[in-house]
Amino acid sequence: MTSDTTLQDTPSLDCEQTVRLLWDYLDRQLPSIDLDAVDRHLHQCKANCASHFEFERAFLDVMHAARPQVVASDTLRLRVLALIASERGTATDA
Amino acid sequence: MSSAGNAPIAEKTQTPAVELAAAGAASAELTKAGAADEFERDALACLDDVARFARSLARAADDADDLVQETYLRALRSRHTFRAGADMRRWLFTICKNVFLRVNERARDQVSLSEDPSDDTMASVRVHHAMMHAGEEILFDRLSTSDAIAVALDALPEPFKVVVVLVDFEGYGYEDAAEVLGIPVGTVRSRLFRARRLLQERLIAHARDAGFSVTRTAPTSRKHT
Repeated sequence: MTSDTTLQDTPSLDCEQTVRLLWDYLDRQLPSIDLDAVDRHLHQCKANCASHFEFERAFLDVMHAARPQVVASDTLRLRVLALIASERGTATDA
Repeated sequence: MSSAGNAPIAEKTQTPAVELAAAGAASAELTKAGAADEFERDALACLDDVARFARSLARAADDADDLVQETYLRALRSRHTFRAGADMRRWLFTICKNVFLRVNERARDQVSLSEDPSDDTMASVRVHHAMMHAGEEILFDRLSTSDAIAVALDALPEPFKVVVVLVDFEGYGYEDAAEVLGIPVGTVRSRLFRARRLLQERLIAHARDAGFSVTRTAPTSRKHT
């Protein structure tokens, strides 16, 4: 298959179809043929869909940055270790 | 387990990376000493991940720790169901999610979704238009978004919250999230999209409350190709 054929096979999307696929596109959940189709539409529709895409991407960036920075406290770890020891004893008793 | 508190996640949990690394190293030493077999070792190696996942769901530190403890209790008692070589982290997340949703069972039953995908599409366009009027960079640059997201996330129906945490915080793909949640991939997708739109709407409301000039507009002026 030539690259020309691939380009011809790429479906043409309108704005509504593109917006519907934006999250899948940003989350890398689309098959390559749909990725190409969204790419093409975003390239052509800078005023609306490309702007919408940038907004959704910025939103996802702040979402990722908002992930809690957490490690289990030693207190919690001790609680879990005590639990393990206790369950081990239960299993042995049984 | 007591009810979740109202303090934002970020305010209560953000710790300098150096301190986190030091805490992690100390905890790892503690872990090595406590594990008797491979199952326990693998389960304990996931403790930080489970603690973070629980904190994303329960928010209040005490509730999150209770959630972690209950998760490990159930995991230990059903360890015979864990297949050797399976993904321990995903298995523990599944248990943690089940415990969390059981505690919040009433909320789980209240979820309803429109079957019409165009509703979500138009809602997404509407939110984008509202943001364009403010200038999205204004919102994302000036808003204290971590706090705002934590508050908005806490207000979501629990099943929506769990999907967002798995995909946007923990980096799961839709199929993996569907496995953890025990629901079809299409349901993950629809809940995620709806949840993100709700979060965006709440961020806009938060921006308005914070005094930023955000105007809610209908998408009538947008020309569709």
